[in-house]
Formats: sequence, structure tokens, C-alpha cells
Amino acid sequence: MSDDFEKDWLNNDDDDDLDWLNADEDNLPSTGELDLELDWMRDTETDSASQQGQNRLGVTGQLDWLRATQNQDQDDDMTIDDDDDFTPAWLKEANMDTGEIANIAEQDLPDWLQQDDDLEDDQPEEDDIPDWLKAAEPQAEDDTSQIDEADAWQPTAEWEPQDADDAALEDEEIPDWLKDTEPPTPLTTAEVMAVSSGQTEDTGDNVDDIPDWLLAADETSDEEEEIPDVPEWLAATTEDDWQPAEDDSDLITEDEALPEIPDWLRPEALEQEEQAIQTEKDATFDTLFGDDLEPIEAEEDLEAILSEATAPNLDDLFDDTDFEAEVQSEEEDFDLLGDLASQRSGLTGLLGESDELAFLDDASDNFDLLGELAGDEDEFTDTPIADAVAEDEEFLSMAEAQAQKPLQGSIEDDTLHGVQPEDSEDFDTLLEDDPFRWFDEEQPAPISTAADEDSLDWLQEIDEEALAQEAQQQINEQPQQPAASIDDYLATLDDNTFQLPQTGELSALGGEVDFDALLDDELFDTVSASTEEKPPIPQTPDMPEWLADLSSQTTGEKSAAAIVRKRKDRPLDELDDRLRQLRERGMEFVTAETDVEDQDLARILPGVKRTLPEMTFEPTEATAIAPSLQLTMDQRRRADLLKELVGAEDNKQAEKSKKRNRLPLIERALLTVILLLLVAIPFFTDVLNVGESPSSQFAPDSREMAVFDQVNALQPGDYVLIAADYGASGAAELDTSTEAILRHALLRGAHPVIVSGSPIGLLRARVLIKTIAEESNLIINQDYTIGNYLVADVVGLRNFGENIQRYIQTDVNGEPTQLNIRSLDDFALLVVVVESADRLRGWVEQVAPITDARMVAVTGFSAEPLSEPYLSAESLSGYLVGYVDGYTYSVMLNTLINGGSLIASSTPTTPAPTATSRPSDTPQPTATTQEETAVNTVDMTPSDTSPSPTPQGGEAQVAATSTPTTTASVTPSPQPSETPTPTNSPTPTVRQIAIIAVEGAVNVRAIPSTSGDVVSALRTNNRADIIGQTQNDIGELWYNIRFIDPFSGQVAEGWVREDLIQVSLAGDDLTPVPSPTPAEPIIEPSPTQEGASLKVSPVLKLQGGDEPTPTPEGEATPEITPELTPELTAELTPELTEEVPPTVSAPTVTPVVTSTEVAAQAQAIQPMDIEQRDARWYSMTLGLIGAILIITGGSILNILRVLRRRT
Amino acid sequence: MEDIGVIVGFILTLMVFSYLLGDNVLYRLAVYVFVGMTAGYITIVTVESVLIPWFDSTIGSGNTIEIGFGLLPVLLGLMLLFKTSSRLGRLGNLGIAFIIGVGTAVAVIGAIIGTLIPLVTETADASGKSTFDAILIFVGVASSLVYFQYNAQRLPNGEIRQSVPIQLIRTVGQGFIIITLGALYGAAIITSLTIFSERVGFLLSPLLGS
Repeated sequence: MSDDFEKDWLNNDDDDDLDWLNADEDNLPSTGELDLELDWMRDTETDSASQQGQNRLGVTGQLDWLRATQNQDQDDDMTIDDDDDFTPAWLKEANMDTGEIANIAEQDLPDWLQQDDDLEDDQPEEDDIPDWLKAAEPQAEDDTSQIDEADAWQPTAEWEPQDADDAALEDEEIPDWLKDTEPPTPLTTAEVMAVSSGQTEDTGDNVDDIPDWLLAADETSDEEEEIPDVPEWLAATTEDDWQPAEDDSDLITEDEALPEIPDWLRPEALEQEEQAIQTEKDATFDTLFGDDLEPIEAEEDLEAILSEATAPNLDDLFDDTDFEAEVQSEEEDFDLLGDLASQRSGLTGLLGESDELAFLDDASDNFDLLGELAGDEDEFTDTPIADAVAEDEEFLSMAEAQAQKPLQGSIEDDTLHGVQPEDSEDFDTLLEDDPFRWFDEEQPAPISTAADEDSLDWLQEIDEEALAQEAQQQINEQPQQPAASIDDYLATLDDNTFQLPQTGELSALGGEVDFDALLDDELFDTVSASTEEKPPIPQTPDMPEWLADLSSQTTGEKSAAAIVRKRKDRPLDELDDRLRQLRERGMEFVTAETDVEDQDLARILPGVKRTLPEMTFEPTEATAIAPSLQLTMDQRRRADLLKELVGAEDNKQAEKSKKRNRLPLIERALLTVILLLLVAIPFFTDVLNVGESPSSQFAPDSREMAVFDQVNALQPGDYVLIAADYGASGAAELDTSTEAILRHALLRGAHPVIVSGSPIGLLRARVLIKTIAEESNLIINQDYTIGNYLVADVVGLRNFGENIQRYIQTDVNGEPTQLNIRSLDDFALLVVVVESADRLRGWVEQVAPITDARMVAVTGFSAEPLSEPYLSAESLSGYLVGYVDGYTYSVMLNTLINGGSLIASSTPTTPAPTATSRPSDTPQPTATTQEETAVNTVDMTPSDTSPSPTPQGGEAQVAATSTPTTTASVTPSPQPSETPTPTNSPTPTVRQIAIIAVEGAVNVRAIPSTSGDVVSALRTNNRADIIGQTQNDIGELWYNIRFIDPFSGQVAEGWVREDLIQVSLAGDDLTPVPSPTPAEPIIEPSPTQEGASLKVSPVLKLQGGDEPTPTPEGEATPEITPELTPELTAELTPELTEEVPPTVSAPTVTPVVTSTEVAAQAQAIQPMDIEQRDARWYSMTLGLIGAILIITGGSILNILRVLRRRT
Repeated sequence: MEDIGVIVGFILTLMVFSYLLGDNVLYRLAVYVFVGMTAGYITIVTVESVLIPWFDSTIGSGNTIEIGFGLLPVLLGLMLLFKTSSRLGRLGNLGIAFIIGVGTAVAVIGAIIGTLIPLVTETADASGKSTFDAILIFVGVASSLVYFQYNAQRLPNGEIRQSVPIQLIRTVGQGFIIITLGALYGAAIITSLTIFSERVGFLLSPLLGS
């Protein structure tokens, strides 16, 4: 970048050697006599805001090249110095060969040449007043803000002499005639004019210091005798009779304006009075700013000046102190000039508010320039530019060489100002002769001649590169102006700028400015004719006027646009390797020319139509610029994978995925219709039923059957935890199983406690059990409980397992549950219904390890694969999967409810008796003993699900389990009840359980003796069902128990000594069996029961978990007569488990509950009514087939597509 | 009222099914309804089932210790609200740290006790299984575990390569994983079809007269 930058402004010499001149050519002094006057005139209109800040100190032309470099720094494309933009169009059309100016449109004329009606707008404002003047006369300014603004743009206002030497030098540089003025009283304008005339060599005293031309002016003007030192027009400024023009019109005719112009401003007077001095100044300025100037006539004087100069110092050239001196010098000049503000006001009164006021208003600039040049050789070093010129021998040598060159003529001058010369070779020659080509590193300009070689020895020592670096460093150190595009910059320019004529052209008209000739229509006609010859360039409405003019006139080879265009013609040899490679690479791309001309391009570079079209650059293996970016196939694959993972796709992939996602609607609709039809057809017809319905019963020893058996083993009053831990999405799949288990548990007389980690699941279970409760007259918190919502995921589960009381103290409605549950061990079974494997894992990990209660699970299909391991690891005792198992379970449940027969599991997993509520139409209750048959068939007594209007008493059956040793039938009294509502008889239960009561492990032995083999071991609080008891030879009482082996997970049996356990009834763990004494008085054993050792607690645990309550008043007390087998004690031997006498009269247990309570606790669980059960199953099957076909077909199609692409 | 519920459910079901034809406003409306209702219901349940019982049992107990114990989670919860402030957000870190710390500890312990040890024990225990099952389980578990190890050896030429036996075992494990994922995918499809058929039956129930 920096290289490009440097070369941008240093190496473009081929095209814009004179750009720095052209850019600010308006500020250039020229050889014409009117240069002094017209220079500031031009400057008033051309300076933009940015230009003011850098070029308002009267050093207008000298620092333009530096300003151009600053602009280059801001924007490489913003090559102000390259553009000949500041040349007025009308002036470019001037035919310098003939000395005439072609006719131009009125609007193209500068304001001061136009009879502008809007003086207020075009009136020179602050920017037309020299900055030093602004700073010097704040009191004269009405608008102080403008002063501040001007100060902001001229940092030199704050410059101060850095050392005493500068001050001393400054003092030395004050002209003698000015030094003698003590105190430095403000001089009149005439005095300043005298200074500006440069005739100070004739001064002998203060009075004599007054220029001759001023004295001559005094002499020639008889009317100015009263104020001899002031010109007539200026003297008028002191008069009080200044009046504004009566005519308020901004139009001032030539006759009106010209008489008011002071004589010294008239070309004739200037030519007469300053001819000799002006020649010297012209030589100096021509040397400074151009090689196309007139030969210097006072060469000897110039050499005298140059002889006093020292070697140039760039630091001094650009040192702020010099500019400070410049400012002070200007201020002194101002002091000499007096209060120009008052003069301006006087002029305003004299001329009125006309354009000519601008002419006079900018007299300060003129004075500025006059003051700058007044002292000629003596005063030349008062300004930085003077310092530079005086001390830069190189520069002076070039000036001298330039002076020796013959006059190039007006063509070069025209070329300098951007007008296309007739002979382009002359233009090139002119460019090559640019004295500032020494800035160019590559083509140092020939700078010296033989005449001044001796005085330019120091120049040989100059390191151009070092100079360039210093210049670059200095540029970098300068405050950066806000970057702006060329359009923005151009937009800041006033359309009325750049319309002042060039002094060179004016001088070429014949040495005298004739405004009549200048405004002659013939000149403009010439310009118009020249313009018409050129091809029209399309113009845009927003195109600046000056650029529009430029575009219409500079489409050839000599224009700002041409200069820019020529950049591409830079020789390849000068390009470095990188740029050369880039060019070669760019040539590889096939570019198409666009016929449509870019508007921006047309505005900036009219006539340039060819631009490089936008191209998508894609790194390929053949990329020469970045070969390191070449990716291997593996790398690309990984990159694609990474993009896919992070969701970032390039445009191509995004489009592909978009297309992929944009599956045609018809295709998607077709698939949807197909699948919908397949799923819906089974609901209407069974023609397309595929396969068979799910089995009506689980396979023996299957995981599903384990679930059924364990639920079926629940005893009345057992608590069963049902965790409905699924949401709405799992409801369709899991509701069936949940409902079936709930019904089954209720059928068994158990007390379901429902909890859930999902509020929706809790809601679903609530809806389900509410339906059941309405059917069976169940009472919340008495027959079932809806617990609370388990929060906090696994942490909540853990907390629930360890602090279950806190969760079940109240139900979901906030009502107390009255549950007598202290830990999870109080549950007979844990049923976890989950739809996700993660939730199942949470239950298994957080709850199962801290309880001895068995856990079964119900999961969806999606969670099945991850549920199987837990079953194998015996964390689960069984599980159901999805709708299919729910279907089978419901069939089995309905069969059970309806009294059908089920094939029991071969494994006696449930030792508990079965309690069945069966209303019977038989008026006489019957007591039967269900026994396990040899084929393990459970005989289900057909039941009448319809409630009986006249219950005669229910049949309570305590069905025997695998071992018929403990069988008791509790038959309620057949006495009629006053309350006819109960439809079912209660099912009192007598079940003993053994709880390990000692710390540590207790061996379970194969025989009732300590010498027996250890079958297994139980730990503290482990439970087991008591299936028998006996006394061994030494009188020890041993209980035969059935339990879940903690090591194998299988059901096992064994013997445990009486002192190691605590015997209690199921559902009432706190009620120990007091002693193995015979039955209480309420138990009346039959004659055949002698010796029976079965102990029945006087407090029976009935359904609902409530303790028996006293008989309510006024109600009949049914009798509950337990029927105990007489051989209970005697047959508590292993061998007795095979057969049981079929007919054994049981002892009668006196009922202790009222019939009303029994009736209230009676539950008639209805069979499940699963709507469209079979239809759903076949629908699923057919839908699955359809899905498989769709997936398979899609996969085959994709494979075929891939194969087709490859082939 | 029940009929209205059925009708609303019917309409909402159709709106959800409209997603089969692409994302549309009906589907989004139904989803928004479900999400909004769920959020509202969860909020109510949480307040009634969790917060109120908690406050009753702690702050409402009158016991100073219980009150302090009950206010502790309230304090931590309030500190979480500071997370919305960039200046005071640090105060909420304590609650976050408490939640994450306890949650992680509970999860890790549960995973070890409830899953890892039982599964390892089950895998190593060949009793009760056939020889084929025992070998299959062992090979499947071992190879699947090997598949997820990425240790390799750097060869002298800089290439990183695993040994051939490890690669073979990884391949076997990859096969098991593929089968497992396939089973999960198939099970997920069955689940979806289950729900779909249930909903179709629900939609067709008016036609079927049930």
C-alpha cells in the first residue's frame, strides 16, 4: 500500500507531471501584468473549504503539490493533482493561438464576469478573505464563527516562533523601510502599494520608501492631493460620504463599474507603473511554477537573489516556524495596509453590492500577495515560499535553466491549464521539462545547466530517496483529514468555482486586460465552436457543472480523465513481481465488456466505458495467487463436515440445501396421502389387515409377564407407586399401558400413588384415574392418590427417593393424603412409565438403588433399546414396551376382570394371594379356595360387572398362591344390610410378612435349622412373605419365607429363625404379630383346625389402608369368618406345598368392619374399553409397511441418481 | 363441554398435521397454543405442588431452623435474578454453582451406582446366559468402548495410525453401534406411527361413529 501510494504521486509523472500545477492552477501566478491582481481574484472562487486550510496564506501555488500528496494519502483514488478539474471549462476552450477566448455559455462564465443577479449568494465571504486577515481583524467581522471556522482550517494561526533565532531572522527580514517605521503605525493602502511595487531600492527614508509608482500615482491624480499617499479609490474609503449604490440591483454595467476601479488596477496603469519590477517577479514566478513562462529579463537581479540563498532545507521549507513567520509577516502587511474592513465598507458604498465588490473585497489577497512580493529580493525571504526559493539552489537552478529556455509559447501554457494543445508532442515535451520531476524517483528530472552547476554541488549530495521518505514521513505526521470519495470531495465544490480566467491567457491577449475583449462574444463563439466538434458525452443530472464541462471537452488524450486512464499504461517493466503476477492472473479471466456505462464511472471519468466486470473468485487447484490454499480431498471433506456441524455453508451448499428443503409440494403431498391412506384404511375395513393382532397373553417368563405378575401380586392395601413420567407426545403410546396397570392395581386392592416429573404426564394420569374412579366410585386419597410434580430432574428424583414424605404429604390439590409412607420401601411396587430412555435412566440411577422395592417400567418403542440393559442388570424386574404390550396387557386384564383363565407364569413370582372382587348374584356367599393347579392355571370366576341392586354379600376370596398352605376365606355375614348400595363385597386380606429386624445380614437356610445350607441372605429391613412356620427339633420357631433373592433376582424360598425377623401383616408393618399363639377369640377355628398355628392379627388390614373402625351406630355388623385350613401348621412343610386339601373349612373371623365401609371399599373395576384397539394395531402395521416402502423407495431412487451421475 | 374439547382437539390436530405440507401459520398457531398452555399449566402446578407446600412446611412451621432452611432456596433463587444485570450478575453465580454442583454430583453418583456398576456386573456375569449371549454381550460392549478411544501411535513419518487389532475391534464396535442406532431409529419410527395412528383414529372417530 505504501509503495503504491508513493508511486502514486511520485511515479505518475508520465501523465500528470503538471498535475500539481493543474490542480491549483487558479492559484498560480503567471507572467501577465495582471497576475498580481487576478491571482487573488481567481483564488476567491476556487478555494474550497479544504483548500482554505492549506492554501490561504498567500503561498497558494507553492504548497499545492504537498496538498496533493495529502489528498493522495486520504484516498489513493482521489488524485486531485491528477485531475485537471479546477480548470474552468470556458477557459480551457480558449484558443491561445489566436489569443481569443471562444464564446461560452453565460452560465459557464465566472461569477465576476457574469451579471449575477444573486449577489448575496455569490458575494465573497470569509474564504475570500485571507486567513491572516481574518485573524487580524476579528473586530471587523460580524460573524465570529466564521473566524473560528477559518482558524480551524489554518493551523498556522497558532504557529509561534520556536526560538529566538526565528524571531531574529524574522526581524532581519523586515524591509528596512518598514523597520524604520516606529511605532509601526498602520500604513495606508497606498503605502502598501508602494511596498508591493518593489521599488524599495529607491528609498532613502520613510518617505522615500514609498514606491515610485505610488508616488507617480499621486502625481497623476490631482484629485488625491488631500490624501497623497492613498490612491483615489482607496482614499474614498476614509470619507464619510460613502453611500451604498442607489441601485440595489446586483447588475452593474461595465460603465458603472469600471470608473470605480482605481487607476492602479487598470491594466494600463499597472503596465506603466510596474513593468520593470513585474518582469523580475514574473521571472521568479515563472521559474517557480512553470516552464512555459516568458523569459526573465532581470536575470541578473535574480541571480543576485539566488546568490544569497543557501542550500534548501526541506525541513525549513515545511517548518511551521516559517509559516508562523509568514503569518506574522502577513499581519504586518495588514498593519501596513490598515483596516481593510473599513476600506471594504467604503468600497461597498462606492460600488454597491455587486460582483465587483468581490473584486475589491479580495483586495486583501492582493495586498497579501503584494506584501509578499513587495520587497523583491529583500523581502523575498519573508515567507516560507521565499525561504524555499531563496535557499533551494536546486529549485533556483531549475528556475535559471527555465529562464534560459526559449518561450514555449502559449500552447504550453494552455497545456498547463489543461487545454488540449494542438500538438501533443509539445505537451509531452512540456511534461518532461517539468522542474518538479526531481520528485520522481525513477525519472529524475534534468535540473541543472552548465551555468549553475557550480552553485548546485549540494544538490548532488541529495538523496532523492531520503527526501521522498522525509516527505512521506511529513505527510504521515500531518493530521489526516476525513477520508472522502472523489464524489464527496467534488460535491463540496461550488459550482461557481473555477470560472475565473487565467492570467496567462489574459496576458496572452496582448498584455492588457480588456474586459470588453474578454467578454467579447466572438471569443465565446470560438470556444463553442471548439466544443461542438467534440463528441457529446452523456451527462448525468448530478454531474457537477465543471465536470460536465470537462467531460465534454477532455475526452481526448489531454484531460484529467486521460491522465487517469493513462495509468494503466504504466510500463510492465516498472511493475514489481507481485503486481506483474496479479496482472497476468487477471488476464486469465475472460472479461466481457459491458455496454452499459456505469453512472459513477461516467460521472468521474466521462468517456471511460470499459470496466472489469465483477467476478467470483474461487480458489482452485490452479490458483496461482494462493497455492497454499489448495485443499486435498480429505481436507475438503473435513472442511465440509465442519461446515455442516457448525451450520456454515457456502453459497453453493446453501443453495443445494435450499433446493433439498424445497421438496416439491406435490411430492410431499403425495407421500403424505399415501401414508395417510395406509394408516386410515384399517379403521374402515379389515381387508388390508396385515398380520395378526398382538397376543392376548404375554409369554411365560417374559419381561412383560413379569410386570403383569408383579402387579397381579399386589395385595389389598399395598402401596404402588406409579410414575407417569411422560408428556403429551408419549400419551398415545403409553396411556394404554398406564391405564391397564392402574386398573390392575386397583383391582388388586392396591393403593396407587401417582407422581410425575412431567406436569403433562401427571395430568394424563389424573385424567385416566379420574375415569376409573368415576366408574368404580373410588375416592381420592382413600383409594388412590395423585402426588406432586417432581421438579429438578435427577436431583428431584433423588430428593424424592430420600424424602418421599415431603412429596406425598399433600396431593396435587394440596389436600393431605394421610398416607402412611415413610420411605420407598413402603411401596410394594414401583411402576415407572416413561417415554424416553434418559428419564428411565434417571429413575433407575437415582431411585432404584435406594430402595428394595421392585421396579418395573413401561416405555415407548424409542426407549426400548436402552431399557433392555437395565432389565438384564436386574435394576428392573420387567417392562412393557409401547402400544403392543399395552394392548396385550389390557386383554389380559379384561380377561382377569371378566373371570377368564390366564396361563400363569411358570415361575411363581407372586406368592401373595389374589383378592378378587366379584359381585355375585348368588344370594348365598360361597367360600372357595383357589388353588394353583398343576398346569398353573388361574381359574377366574366369571364375574358380573354390573352392580347388583340387592347385594347379598360379596364373596371374599383369598386365593391361594403357589403354596396352598395358608388359605383363608373371609366370608362376610350374609345378613342383609340396611344399605343396599354396596355392590361388591370387601376383600379382607390376611398376609404375613417377615421383616429382617437385626442389623447386618441374616442367612436364609434351606431347612429350619442352623445346620442347613444357606440359600441366600437378607439385610436389615428386607421383607419376605411368610408362607409357613415350624418348630425344629430343639424348639426353635422357623418361618418359611419367599423372597426375591438379592443376588440372583429370582424368587427364592428358605427358612429364617423367628428371633431374627419381625412378623407383621401386609400393609400394616407396624403391627407385629404378638406371638404365635392361637387365634384370638374372634377366630373360631373349626374342629378340624386344631393345632393350627396361623396367627391372624386382630386388626385386619382392609382395602383403603385404613384401620378397622368400630361399627357405626345403627348399622349391621357383618361377620367376617375367616376360613383357615386346619393343616396350616402341620402342613408348613415343603412337601405340603404340592397339594392342599380341597375342602377345608376355615375358621370364621368375626367382622370388625361395618357393611357400609365394606361396601364403600368395594371396587368394581371395569374392563378396559380401548377404542379401535385392533384398528389401531393394523393401522400401525400398515403404516409401518408404508413407511418402510417409502424409505426404501427413496433410498433406491437416491442410489440410482448417484449411479446415473457417475455414469 | 366435552364435545367442545373434542372439536378443539380435532381442529388442533388438523392444524398440526398441516405441517406435512410445510411450515405454515396454522401449524405454528397450534404449536404456540400448546406451548402456551403447557407453560401456564406447569407454572400453576409448580406453584401449587412445589412452592406452596415447601413454604408451608418450612417458613410456615414456626421453627427458626425450618424457616432458615426454607428461605435458603428462596435466597438462592433471588440471587439468580441478578444474572440479568451485568454489574450484579456475579451474585447469581452462587446459585448457578449450587445447582450445577449438586446436579453433577447426583448425576455422577447415580450413573455409577445405577448404571455403570450394574451393567459391568451384568456383562461380566455369564451365569444365566447362554455362551453365545455371554460372548455377544462381552464383544459388543468391549468393541463399542474401544470404538470411542482415540489413542494412536505416531509413526516415524509423522503419520498417526492405530494398530491393526484396534482398528478391527473398532470396526466391530462400529457395527454394534450402527445396529443399535438402527434399532433406535426403527423404534422411533414405530413410536411415531403409534402416535400417528392414534391421531388418525381420533380424527376418523366422527366418521366411525365412536
